[in-house]
Amino acid sequence: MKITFHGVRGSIPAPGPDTVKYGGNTTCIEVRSDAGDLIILDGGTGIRQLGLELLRELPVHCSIFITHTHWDHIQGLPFFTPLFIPGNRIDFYGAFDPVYMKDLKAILTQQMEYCYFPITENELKARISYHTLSESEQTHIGSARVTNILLNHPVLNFGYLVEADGKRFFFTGDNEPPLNPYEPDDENHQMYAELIEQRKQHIIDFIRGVDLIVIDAQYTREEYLKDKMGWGHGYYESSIEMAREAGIPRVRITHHDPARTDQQLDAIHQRLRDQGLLPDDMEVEFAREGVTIEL
Amino acid sequence: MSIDQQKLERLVDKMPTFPQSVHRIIEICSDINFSTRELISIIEHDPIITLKLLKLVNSAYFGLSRKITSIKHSVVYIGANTIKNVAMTITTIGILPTKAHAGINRNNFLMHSLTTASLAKLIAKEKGVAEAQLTDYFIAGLLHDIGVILAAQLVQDEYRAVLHLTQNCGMTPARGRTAYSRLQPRRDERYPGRALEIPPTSGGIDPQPPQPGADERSLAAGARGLRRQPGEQADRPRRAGKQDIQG
Repeated sequence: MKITFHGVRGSIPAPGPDTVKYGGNTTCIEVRSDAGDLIILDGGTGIRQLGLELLRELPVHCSIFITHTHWDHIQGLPFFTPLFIPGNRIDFYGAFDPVYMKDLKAILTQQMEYCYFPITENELKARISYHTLSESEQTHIGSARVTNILLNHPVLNFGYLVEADGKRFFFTGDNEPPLNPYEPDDENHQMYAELIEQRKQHIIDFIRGVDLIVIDAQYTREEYLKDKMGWGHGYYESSIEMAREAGIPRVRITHHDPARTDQQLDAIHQRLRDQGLLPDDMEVEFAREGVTIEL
Repeated sequence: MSIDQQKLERLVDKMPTFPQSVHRIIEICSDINFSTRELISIIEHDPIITLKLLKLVNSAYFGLSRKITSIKHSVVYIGANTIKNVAMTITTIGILPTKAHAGINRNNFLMHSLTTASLAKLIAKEKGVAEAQLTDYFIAGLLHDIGVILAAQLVQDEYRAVLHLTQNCGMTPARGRTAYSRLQPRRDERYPGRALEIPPTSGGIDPQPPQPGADERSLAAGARGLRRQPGEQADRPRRAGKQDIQG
């Protein structure tokens, strides 16, 4: 199984000389099984370049799993060239939006309404299908199996476990560990803490021992505690700890803050190392656009 | 007369809620830095929002792999922001009138539900129920009479007639119950919580006397009895309509 990062930036693209090393495109990850099955996780701006590369292997058959439909995870889709070419087959998978009662097709179609984009969804030439996923539903893509789990973000967000060729890879999408809103002396504190612990263990059990995790961590601990709590993203220490508890040997941290420069990311990584927060038995790196990891 | 489940579900979807909750939910939804504690408190103290929210999060729309049995559970599992927005959509349905269908007084109904809920939780705590499960008992008490307000809306004329019989024609509580059951001949149709597939620990409250093993229901029924006012009779249709039945 090969995993390639085409977009690792969070929130909004951040092009420029300060983001050359890690990249400025928003979330998109390509997963290839040894048999060549193509799974794409999220359609942030990084999917545009991937689409251009796929023109070398027409007709394209790929399965795009959307973690959630916030802009930075879908904004590249109208520029995904394979969608416009007859003979290609593209299958979308994702959660239903229970707040506005929309399925994935409705959401992506609205994204391409005429006021936003000159070509509407019904003008796309590829054979397109949409699949609404329930939690824990398994999907077989050729030799690969994709299973989702609900994580914590201000919209339904599925993390995806991809299993193929005897290897297991997990991508969180966006995730913030649940917070206890009650003070320790509040009568509700303990009850809520127990619910959080159950939830945490459910997730840890789901991802335990995967070969690689790509995990959201947009903030430093200081930034998070200052004014980012409840924004739906983890911080470096919380994400590394989650991977450590799940016994995951390889970690790639993603969803870099758009304001974070290459230099700052390098400095943060060095600080984490100096503080002893990178366990010796784990390979913890920041995800970089264009890098491929082979499991 | 039977209660059609689909009709009942549509009715729940359209059910207006209490104005106190609507105003506070709207306030919370206009505040980006809202308090999760307050959000939980508002929802937990409103039987209609609680019922509708639990119904929705346990529906195929959310597609969750496990049953959500309380508001706190829903916030931990789905996230406070999503629950806030779901609550907002629920409250936009409308506000329950002071005199709801079949003459049920809105505020009396709410007070009765909240009192029963609080007592059920207190009794459960006294009985040594684990901390994490106390909310289930609170919700059991909160929703134990939700069928009254739904049935009153769904079979309004019949329900009003039964209330009239029990209140003004000297029917005993047992006869009132019989009359009430005739309105809903099948067990599955009798209890909206069950029909709506609310998990048993949170909402499928049986208005019949408590059954062995049904802990939350037993305590909710006990709490319901404790909170009755002196001189008030035990039968629910009689009590619900005591002050409220219209002309």
